This record gives sequence, C-alpha cells and structure tokens, in this order.
Amino acid sequence: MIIPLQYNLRYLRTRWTGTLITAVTFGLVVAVFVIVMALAQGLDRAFVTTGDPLNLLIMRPGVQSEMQSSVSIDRYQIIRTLKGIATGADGEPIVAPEVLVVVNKPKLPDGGKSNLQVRGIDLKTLELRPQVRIVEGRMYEPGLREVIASRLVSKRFQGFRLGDTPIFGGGTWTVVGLFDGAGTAYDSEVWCDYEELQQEFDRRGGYSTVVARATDPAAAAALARTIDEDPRLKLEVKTEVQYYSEQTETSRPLKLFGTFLATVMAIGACFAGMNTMYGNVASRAKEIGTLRVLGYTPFSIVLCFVFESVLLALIGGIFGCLVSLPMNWVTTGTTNFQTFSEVVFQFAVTPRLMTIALGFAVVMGVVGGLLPAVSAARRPIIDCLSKV
Amino acid sequence: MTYHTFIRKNALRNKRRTALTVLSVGFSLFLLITLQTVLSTLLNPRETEESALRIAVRHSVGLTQMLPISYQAKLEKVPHVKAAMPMQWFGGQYIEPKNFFANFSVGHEQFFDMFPEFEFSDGAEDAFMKERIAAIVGDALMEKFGWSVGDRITLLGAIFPVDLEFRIVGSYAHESNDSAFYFRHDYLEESMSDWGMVGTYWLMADSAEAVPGIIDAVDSQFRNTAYETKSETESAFQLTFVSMLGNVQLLIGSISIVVVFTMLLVAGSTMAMTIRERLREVAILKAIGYPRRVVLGLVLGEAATVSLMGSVVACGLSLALASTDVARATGGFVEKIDPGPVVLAAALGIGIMIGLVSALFPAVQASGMSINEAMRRLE
Amino acid sequence: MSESPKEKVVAARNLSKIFPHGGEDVVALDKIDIDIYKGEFVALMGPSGSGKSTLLHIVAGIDRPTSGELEVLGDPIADLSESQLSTWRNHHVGFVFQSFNLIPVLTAQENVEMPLLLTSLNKKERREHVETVLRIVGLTDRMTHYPRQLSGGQEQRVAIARALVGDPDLILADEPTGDLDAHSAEEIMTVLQKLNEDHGKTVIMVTHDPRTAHYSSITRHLDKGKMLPVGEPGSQE
Ligand SMILES: Nc1ncnc2c1ncn2[C@@H]1O[C@H](COP(=O)(O)OP(=O)(O)OP(=O)(O)O)[C@@H](O)[C@H]1O
Ligand SMILES: [Mg+2]
Repeated sequence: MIIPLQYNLRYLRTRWTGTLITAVTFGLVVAVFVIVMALAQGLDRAFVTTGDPLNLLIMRPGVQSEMQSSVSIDRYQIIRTLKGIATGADGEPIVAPEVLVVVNKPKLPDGGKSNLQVRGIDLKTLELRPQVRIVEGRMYEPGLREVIASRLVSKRFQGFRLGDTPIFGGGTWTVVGLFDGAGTAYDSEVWCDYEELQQEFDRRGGYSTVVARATDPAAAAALARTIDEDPRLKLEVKTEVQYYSEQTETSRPLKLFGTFLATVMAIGACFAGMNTMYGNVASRAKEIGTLRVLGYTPFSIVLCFVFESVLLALIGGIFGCLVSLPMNWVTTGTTNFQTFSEVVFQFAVTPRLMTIALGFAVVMGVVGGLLPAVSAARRPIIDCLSKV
Repeated sequence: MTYHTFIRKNALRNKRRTALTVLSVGFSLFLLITLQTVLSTLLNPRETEESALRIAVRHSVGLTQMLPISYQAKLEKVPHVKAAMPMQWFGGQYIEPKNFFANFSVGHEQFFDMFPEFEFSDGAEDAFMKERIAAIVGDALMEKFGWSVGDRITLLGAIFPVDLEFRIVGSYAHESNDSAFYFRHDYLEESMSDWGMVGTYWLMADSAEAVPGIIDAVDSQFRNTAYETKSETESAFQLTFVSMLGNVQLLIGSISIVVVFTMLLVAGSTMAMTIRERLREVAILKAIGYPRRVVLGLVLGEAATVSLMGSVVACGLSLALASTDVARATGGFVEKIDPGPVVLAAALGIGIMIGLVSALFPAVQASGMSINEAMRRLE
Repeated sequence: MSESPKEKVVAARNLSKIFPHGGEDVVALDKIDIDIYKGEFVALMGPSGSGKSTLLHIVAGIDRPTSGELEVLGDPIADLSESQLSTWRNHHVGFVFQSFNLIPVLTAQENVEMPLLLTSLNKKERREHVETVLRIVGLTDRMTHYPRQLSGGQEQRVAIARALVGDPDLILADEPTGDLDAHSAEEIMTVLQKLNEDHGKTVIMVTHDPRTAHYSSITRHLDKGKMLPVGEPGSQE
C-alpha cells in the first residue's frame, strides 16, 4: 500500500532548490516559535523550579509579592512555636525570617539601571533552599556587611564580582561569594545577613516574610491551616510552589505573543508549502497516473504526498530547532511587575519544547500537503497520463 | 491589448498558485505591520501639548519605593511648577483578578488641571471635590462593565491591605486613554490610617522650556536624603516601563527581519516556479522581437502585481485587527494595534519591493537566455 | 478463431465511450463487440483518433466505458470501485506505455519492483522476481541504472519488465514502439513475442506500424470508433 520512502526522499533531493526554500521557510517559523517560547519557558522555569512544596511562605494577607509583605518579630516568635515544623541539625525549628529590599544598580555593559533584589537571610535559609550552592568564594559571615551574589547577577550587574564592594543602603558591602541558584528565581538575587540588612535599611521593626519548613506534606497543610486561623497572627500562608507559580503571570504576554507570531507565520508558511506541493504534484502528474495503472490506490497517493510534505516540514523543523539551540546559553532579563525587580534567566530550549515544535512542523506539513495530495489522487488516471 | 492586460492575464493564469502566494505574503506582511506597530507604540509614546508639560517624580530606586506626602508642598514651591499632584497605583481588583484595569488615587485638587485633555462629564468636577469616596471613570471602562454615574462599586486591595468602596460621580472621554479609574488620594490615605506616603508626584510645568530646569531642581533638592527622587518627562516615564520589559526592540527587530526574509523566500520560490514554466513563452516573445528589457519588465511587473495583492491582503488584515479588542486579549498590555496610514503605505511599498527583489534573479536569468536554450530547457 | 474453445480474456458487448466536449459529444467508441481469448497476441490498428487507446484504457480498467457490457478475465470491471480496480490492475494486467513512464528518481530495478510493493512478497522474493523479469527482457546488467542513463529501447524493456513482474494474465501495450527507432522496435517486439509464445501471456498491442503488427497472431482494425470485422484490412493496409 505504501509508496516507499526513498521515492519521496529522492524527489526532495532532485528538486533540492524548491525543497531547501520551503524547508527553510518552515524552519524559520519553527525557530521563531522555539525562541520566543524558550524565552517564556526560561522565565517560567526561574519561578516554577524555585518553590519547594514543604516550604511555607508566611506573609501579610492580600499582598501579591514578598516585596510588599511585612511580618513583625513577635509574630515570628509565635510561628517558631507551632507544631509540624521540621527540626534542623542544631535542634531548632527550621523557621527563617527574610528581609527583602530592592536596590537600583547599573547593569553591564551599558550602565542602564535596573532593580536588583537583595534578600536578607538567616543561615537556616540554606537548609530551606538546598538548591542554592556556593560556587566561588565563601558564605557570608553573620554580623558582617558581606553579601553573596548569584553568578548571573555578577555577570549582569556592575560591581558584583567576587571581592567587589558594592554600596547599598548607606554602607559598603563586600562580595565574598558567588552562588548558583540552579535556574531558580534566586539567580536574580543577592543574599546577605538579614539583621545587617534590617539595620542598613532601617527595617528593625520586622521582616518581610517568614519561611517555615514542614516535616511532611500533611503537616504542611495542617500548619498552613493553623497559621491561617490563629487570631494572634493574622497572616497568610502559601507554599513556595503556590507562590512562585502565581509569579509566572509575568510570562503570559510573552506566551501570547509567541503563539500569535507562530500562528500567523505558520499560516503564511502553510500557503507557501501548499504552493510547493501543488508544484510537485503537477510536475509528477504522469508518474501519479503510472503508479495508479500499476495498481496503487488513490489513498496511497494521498499518503505519499502528505508524507512528502510532512517530511519537508520536518526537515525544516529540525533545521529550526538546531538554529535556535544556541539560544540555550543566552542569559536575558525582564522585570517582574509584581516586585518591580529584575528577573535574570536563561532561554530554555528544552527537549519538550523541541518536541512540541516538531509536532507543530508536522501539523504545518499535513495542512500544506493535504489539499495538493487529495487533488493528485482525485485526478482521473487518464488526465494524469495525457498531461505532459 | 496592453502590457497591463498581458501582465494581469499572466498573473492570473495559475490562479491557485497566485492566490496561495498572495495569501502567504499577505499573512507575513500582516505580521510585520503588527510587530512594527506594537514596537512603535511602545517606543514612541505619543507626545502631546499637555504631556510635554507633565513631569513624573518617583523614588530613585523604583516604583515600589514611596515618597513622603510632605513633598507636595516642597514640589509646589519649585519655580515654574504650576501644580503638583500625588498619584498612587492602587492595583485594586474588581470582583476578581481577570477584570484588570488601571486604578489610581490622585490629588483631587490638582487632577482637573493636570489632565486638561480629558473631557469630563457634567458635574464631575464638583462632585469629585465634594465627595470623599468619589471616583471618575473612563468611558471605555464604564461601557465595559455597564456602569453608570451614581453606581457604587468596591475595589479589593491587592497591594494595599484595604478594600475601598467608591461612588462613581462622573466619566471622562479621551481618544486613546479612556479605560482608567481615578479616585481621591486623601481617601486612600485615610483608609491606610494616615499612611503619609505616595508612589509618584506629577508636576505641571508652566511651559515646555521650563521642563528640564524643573527636573534638575527637583532631583537636586532631594539628593542625599532618605527619599531621593528621580524625575522625568511623561514620555520618558513610559519608556522606563518599556525598558523594564527587557530588550523588546532587539526581539521584535530580529523577528521582523526573519519575517521579511521568509516573505522573500516564499515569493522568490513561486516566481522561480512560474518563470520556469514560462520559458517557452519567454522564447516566443523574444522570437517575435521583444527586447530583453521588455521581457524583463513583463516578468518583474507580474511579480510586483502579485506581491502588491499580498500587501493589500495584509492591510485588510491589519485594519481588521485594529478594530478588535486587543486590549482585552493582551490584558491591557497593548491598548490598540492601529497601524495608521503611514505604516500601511510603507507596507504596500515593502510588498512591491519584495515582489521585485524576489523575481529579479529568475527574471534576469530567463530574459538573458537564448531562444534555443529556453526551448530546450522545456524538455 | 472465434470458434476456439479457449478461455475468454476480454468480452465486450455494445461497448461505447463518449467524451462530453462542450456542447458536442465525442464518440470515441461506438457500440463495439470484441472477444479476445487466452494466449492471443492481438494488434489493434486504425487511423489516429479511431479509439484504439480509449479501448485499451477501458480494458485495463484505467478508464470507464459510458455504456455496454465488459468482462475482462471474467471480472465485470466497470462495476468495481476505484480502489478495487487498483488492486485488480495490480493482480491481473501489465500496461506498457508509448513514452515508457518510468519514475526518474528510481533505478531500473526499483522501477520494476514498484508493483510488487503492493503484494505480500518479502524483500528477497521481490528481488528474485525482479531479477527474473529483467533477465527475460535482457537487462540484468543495467539493474542499478537510472532511466536517464538508459536508451529508449532499454527504458521500454524496463517498462515491460515492470508490466510483467506481477505475473499478470494480460499485457496491454499502447504503441510500445512509437517512440523508438527501427532496431529498438524490433527488440521490443521480440520480447513481446517471447512473452506471448514462451510464457503464455495474452497481449493486446496498439500500433500504427504494419511491420510490428506482423509479430501478432491477430490484427483487428478500428475506424471512427467502430470495430471492423475480423480480417478486413484497414485503410492503411
Ligand atoms: N479525454 C478526452 N476528452 C475528449 N475527447 C477525447 C479524450 N480522449 C480521447 N478523446 C477523443 O476520442 C477519440 C479517440 O481517441 P483515442 O486516443 O482513443 O484515439 P487513438 O486511436 O488512440 O489515436 P492515436 O492513434 O492518435 O493515438 C479522439 O477523437 C479523441 O479526440
Ligand atoms: Mg492513441
């Protein structure tokens, strides 16, 4: 039933200019799709991989981001006494206060200013966020004006290399370590001792948020309920996963844009593909007639040409994926409009995205090839044979 | 018969191929128009007589940092400043988050002087001055939610820990910005138990020439205080927002180039296909004495005709998009995608250029071929 | 010879083919009766436009008659659906074109193999069949050549091999020597004769050339869509 693959392949090779042009057209559509979606995915990944389902983020009710939250010290003390919180190596409950401020710093290379998020942490925070690792230098010393910066931040902002002495608030700080946040939102941050940060920014009255680690998922749910209901606290609890997935709103316009782009470009490319395939069909009319005389059914002719078109689109799709692959190593940034600070992230051309893109190419191939293929199969054999 | 009819008949000879090429070029060009329109709307905030006089003052660190309410009196004293108005992004939600619209608290005493281009409904000004919970709403927003003057509505605080109830006392009309919601800052201030802060101040200069001077004066006055300011013109303030998005220009610019290149490929491959099939005719034309120049012209004319038709399709699609509610689909990110006559004319031009450039190579090749060779190529 | 007790391969009664052409109809075949028996080698002759190709196409199940009854190899082929007809062609007839119609991107042996892909034969069996028929047409040394690397006569021999490879009962050839020089034409006719005599294939061949007609056992004449009685010479003879 099925006309062999070599037949299509050799044709595509014989008419290589047409094949190349059409494949490149399909490829460019796929590349644009992949690149824009990789941007959106990189951004999502920065947020989604950040959260840990056992970490509870405790904030002031109604706020959209950690930045706008505040939690007083006495409430932090109450939280520490609650049940269901995991115990750290030192025997203390793993509850860490965090202080968040935003500083405006010049970026590399042009010196345009962007907001940078500085997170004041407790050393316990490291138990809460094991994905963050020091890759160069050392951890800050509590009680000193020392910071550790993410490697991406140190590449993207001026004055955050190891040993640099950035100024923020009133004082001068020293970068003593660089960390790798493993693609999380922390890759856009600078960390330091929370008490130092409180002093520097005159925030002695309280913390921004308090993060607590539950012993297990059931305890996490119970703990969340306890905090929600405790009349002394009047605080809101979210798991980190929940919180960060809410932040992925940021990539919504980008995804919308990518989908719109890809759709409109794909429509254009499908028309072009149809043109090529109609041309292929027309120039092979006599062969189609001959194949039919040899006993091939109309359906196998449809299959043959749709297949050829899909093959063409797949060649394009693979080309498009390869072209966009190097973007994987490109770092870029945008603003999280919920915190008004810069999110640094890498394009994420993931295997899943490439699979989707190739699927997309197949769809373009089918759409572009179906009508020409059907028209080829429906032509009476006699007509095919008489057309030279 | 003229050259025109010849070109037209040729272009329509393989109707399906012509139609597919027209549609392909049309959709790509439509995309190009849309991208360029969005980009230019983002990068060139429209400067009007009024907006040129307005200055935004914010905390030098950023929009999440606040300025003390006490700055108002100081800002009013700066020379050439006619009015200084506190303004705060409230970010309230109406019933649920998806009903997104811009809502701000404003200084009610200065609001009407600050936005002289707004056409307020009758009695709006008086009511806004008298009533603490008064709100003034853009016409488009009124229509969207079916509100009318006198309605009471509540916005749930998302940034601020308060829910506020308002009474709509009037509406305003404006050609592009008519979907915002304004209410009195003193109401917000009071609800926040005398908070004493505000996100931005807007200043009105007495003349456009005075604007740079005011910016300098304000920023230097507050330099090295706990609340340093950053002042900029209204359009610069809007550009700050755009630049926060990331490198939009690079992204859209490179995509546009890819789109143009795709169109060239599509048009080029079709023309090559067409001309290959026409070699016999080219040979006949030359045999009956057509000079190379005319043959070339006929082929190029045909290509330009086809791509011009594509441009017309693109313009049609763009006009259709201009009349749809883009604001809703993009969550208010892009208000409107209205290319305007200049962009459309440019698109027509680009369309013709694409036709000519794409056909040039095959046309030169075909018209330069000897009669014999052209006949033989057919075999 | 019509009195022979042999099996009927083609039986046509009142067979007509009318091509609607604008307002006027072109009558290509006008109420034709014809019987062809197993093992015959029939040459169809007649002036241009007399309906020879049309008849051959209808017998091959490539085109359908407008009216009349037709059985080929005992099957009422006019009543079969398009895909039934495809399978029927594959099993029962081999068609040879005037202009060879080989697929340019496939080699000689691949061209010949095309009809076999529709069968359940495995790769090895297919290869054996292909080699067998290429041996019959005398082209075993050109198996991996592409059509453009072959002469016209060789191309036509590949086409005959392709028609033969499915072991059909009936071989139909429309002016198989029309595009060939005299020497190649002779080669082709020898092959067809061999198929008829040594392999027992029924052959129906359209030709303009009285010399090639001599290879056949029976010559029938068509004129203006009508079949002339057996033995009656056409205008050309
Ligand atoms: N598809 C068609 N549409 C209209 N008329 C047709 C069609 N095919 C054949 N005819 C007409 O039917 C008649 C018979 O044609 P046919 O091809 O059978 O002739 P032929 O005997 O094979 O001629 P030749 O020796 O030139 O090949 C001719 O008058 C031809 O014009
Ligand atoms: Mg004929």
